[in-house]
Amino acid sequence: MIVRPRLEDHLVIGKYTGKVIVGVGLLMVIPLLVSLGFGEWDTAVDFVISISACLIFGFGTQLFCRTEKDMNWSHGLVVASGAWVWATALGALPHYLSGHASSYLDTLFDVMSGYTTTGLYLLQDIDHIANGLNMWRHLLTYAGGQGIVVIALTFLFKGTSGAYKVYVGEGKDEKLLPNVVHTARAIWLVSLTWLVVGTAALTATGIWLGQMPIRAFFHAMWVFMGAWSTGGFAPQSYNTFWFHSLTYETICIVIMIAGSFNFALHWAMWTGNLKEIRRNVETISMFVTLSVTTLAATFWLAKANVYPDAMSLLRKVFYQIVSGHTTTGFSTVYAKAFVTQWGPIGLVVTTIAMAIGASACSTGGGIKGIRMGIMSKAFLQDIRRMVSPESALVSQKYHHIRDVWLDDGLVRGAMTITVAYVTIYAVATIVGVLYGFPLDQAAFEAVSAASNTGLSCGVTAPTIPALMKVTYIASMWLGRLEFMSVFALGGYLWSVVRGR
Amino acid sequence: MMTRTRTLTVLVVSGAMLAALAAPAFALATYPPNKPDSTELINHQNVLGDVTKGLFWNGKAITFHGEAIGEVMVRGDYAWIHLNDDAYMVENIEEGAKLGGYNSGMAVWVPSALTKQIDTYGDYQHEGSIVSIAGVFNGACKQHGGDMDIHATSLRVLAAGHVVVDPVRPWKVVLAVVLASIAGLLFWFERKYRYLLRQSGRVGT
Amino acid sequence: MANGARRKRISGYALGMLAESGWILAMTVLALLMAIIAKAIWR
Repeated sequence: MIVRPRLEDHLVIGKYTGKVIVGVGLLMVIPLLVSLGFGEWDTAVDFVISISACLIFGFGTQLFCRTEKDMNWSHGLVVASGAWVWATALGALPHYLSGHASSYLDTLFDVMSGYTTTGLYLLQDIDHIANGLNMWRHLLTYAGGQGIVVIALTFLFKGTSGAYKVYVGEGKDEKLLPNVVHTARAIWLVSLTWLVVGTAALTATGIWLGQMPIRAFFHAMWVFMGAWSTGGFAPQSYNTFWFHSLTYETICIVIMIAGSFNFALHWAMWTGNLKEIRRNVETISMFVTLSVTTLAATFWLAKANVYPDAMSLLRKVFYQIVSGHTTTGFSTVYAKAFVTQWGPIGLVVTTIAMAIGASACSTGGGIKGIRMGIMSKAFLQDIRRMVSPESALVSQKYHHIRDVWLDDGLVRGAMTITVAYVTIYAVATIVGVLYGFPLDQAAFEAVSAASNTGLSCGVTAPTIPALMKVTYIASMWLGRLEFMSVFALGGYLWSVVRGR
Repeated sequence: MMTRTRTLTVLVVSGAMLAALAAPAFALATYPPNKPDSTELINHQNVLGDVTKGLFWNGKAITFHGEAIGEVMVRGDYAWIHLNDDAYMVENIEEGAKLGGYNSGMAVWVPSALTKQIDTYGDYQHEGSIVSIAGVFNGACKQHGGDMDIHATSLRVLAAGHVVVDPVRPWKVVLAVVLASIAGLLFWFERKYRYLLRQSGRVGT
Repeated sequence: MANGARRKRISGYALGMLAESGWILAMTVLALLMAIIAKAIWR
C-alpha cells in the first residue's frame, strides 16, 4: 500500500527546499558584483530580478511551511532532487534574460548542465556574453560540483540530523568527519584551497601567454571552476583550445584529475596518509582504465596518422581522454573534429572513457571507479571460486581508506547502479538515433550527457528537437544524483496522486 | 560624488545614442561568406568517413575573414588571434542580431606586427574589427601541438570595431524593483512572525 | 604551540596536494611514453 504523504511531510520538504533556494539566491550576489564591477548594467538588473525571485520562493516556502519535524530518509531524498529542479528553474533566469537563448528550455538545459557539471550548452554567441553571466555559468558549475545541498548544509542548516539525509540524496555518501556539517566544511576547505592555488597558477600562465592581467585572472578562475568541478564550461566558444599552450593544458590536466578524485581520498592524503593514492581502489581503477583508453586512442590515431608527432599526440589524445574520463568535457579540438579527425574508433574509445567516469563522492559523474573496482574484484573472486576446491572459502577485499571485505550486498549495489547507468546511456542514445543521428555520434553525445561529461561531437545544438533536449536534461539529472533520489521524488509525486 | 555620477551617466547615454546612430551603418555592411568557411575547414574530409585520408583543406593556401574576438595573445614575433565568421560577425545580439547558432571561427597564427592594425576585439561591450587574412590552413599543426590553425602571412582590416551598448530595459527595472520589494517584505514578515512566535512562548524555527 | 600544530596541519595539506599532483604528472609522462612508442611504430 502506498501511503499518501501527510501535511507534515509536505511542510518538511517545503521548508528545507526553501532553504536551499535561498542559498542559490545568495550565490547570485557574486555574479551581480562582477556585473557591477564591469559596468554591465543590464546584466546587473537581470541578477537583481533573479535573486529576488529566489528569495521570494525561499522566504515564501519558509513562511508557509512551518514545522519542527526533522527530515527522515525519504524527505532527504525528495529535498535533494526537488531542490535541483527548483534551483534549475530559478537559476536559468539570468540566462534567459540575457537574450542569448532561443527558449526557456534551452536555458534550463544550460543550467542543469552547469549544476550537474556536465558542460554541454545551448547558449548562443557565448563569445559576446557579459562577464557577470560568465561568472554565473562557472559559479553554478563550481557550486554544483560540491553539491548545492552541501552549500546549504555549510551555511544554512544548523546541525539538523536530517542534514546527512539530504547530503546522501545528492549522490555523496562519504563521511570525512563524523559530523556531516564538518564533512561539508572539509569538502569546502579542499575545494577552496585548490581554487586559490589553481587560479593563481593559471593566472600567471595566462599573463605569460599574452593575456591582459584582468582577463587572465577571470579566465583562470573560470577555467579552474570548469576543470575542478569536472564541469567543462569555459569563457570562450573555443573552450581551452583558446590558449594554445602545453603549460596551460598540463595545469588543466592536473586540476581535472584532482577534481575527479574522491573527497575522502583528498582528505586522507591531506591528513598525512600519502600511501592512500597507491592503494586506493579508485586510483588503481582509474590508472588501469585511463591507461587502456589512452593507449587505444593513441595507437589508433598514430596509425591513422592524424597528428604529426608524439607531442601533438599527447596534447590532443591524452587531453581529450583525460577530459572524458574525468567527465570534465574540456576540449582542444573542435566538436566536429571528433568525427572528421578521430573517426569511429576515436569516438568509441572516448565514449567508453566517459561512461566509466570519475570517482565516487567527487564532482564527477559516470559509473565511477569504485564500482568498476568492486565489480572487477567480484569477477576475480568468482574465477578464484571456480578453480578452488568446493569447500574452500574464497574471500576478497578492496582498499578504500581502509580495507573492506567484499560481500554480495556491496556487489549487488554496484551492479544495480551500473545497470541503471547503462540503461540511461542506451535510452538517450536511442532517442538520438531515432532523430536521425548516426549511432556512434548519438552514443557519444548521450553518454556525455548522462555521465555529466560535456564533450560534444557536434550533435548538441540549439536546433535539435525539444524532446532530445529534454532527454539530455533528464539524463544529466539522473546521472548526477545517481538515480535513487530522483526515483524517491517520483515515488513522492506518485503517492500524492495515488496514495491512501 | 553626485556630479561625477551624473557626468558619467550623461557620457554613457550620449555614447549610447551615438552608437545607436552608427549601428545601422555597421549592420548594412555585409561580407560574402568565406570560401571555405570555418565549418567547411573542419568538416571536409578527402574521403568521406575515412580519417586516415586527412582533411581536404589541410596544407592549402586560403583567405579567411571574420570578427577578431576576445584578445590578441602576443608570443614574441608571432601572435594568436581568433576570427569568428559566424552570425554575430557584424553585430551582436545586444544590438539586435538574430540568434544564429553557436559561434564558429578559426585560430590564426600571425606576425605580431600585423596585429597592430586591429583596434577592437569582440566581447560583451565590443564588436571586434573585421579582419581578412591569407595563409595556410593546418588540420593538425606540427608547430603547435596538433592545433587546427591558419598560419597567416598577410592581414587586412576590412572594418573597424565599435563599442556595443546594452541599454537597460525599463520593464526590467520595474520588475526588479517590484520583485525586490516583495522579497524584502517576505523577509521582514518572516522575521516578525518568528519573533511573535517566540513572544507567545512557542519555539520558532 | 597552537601555532605549531596549525603549521603542521597546513604543511600536511600542502604535502597532500603535491603528492596528488605528482601522481597525475606521472600519468602524463606515461601517456607521453605511449605517444612516443606509437609514433615510433607508425612513422
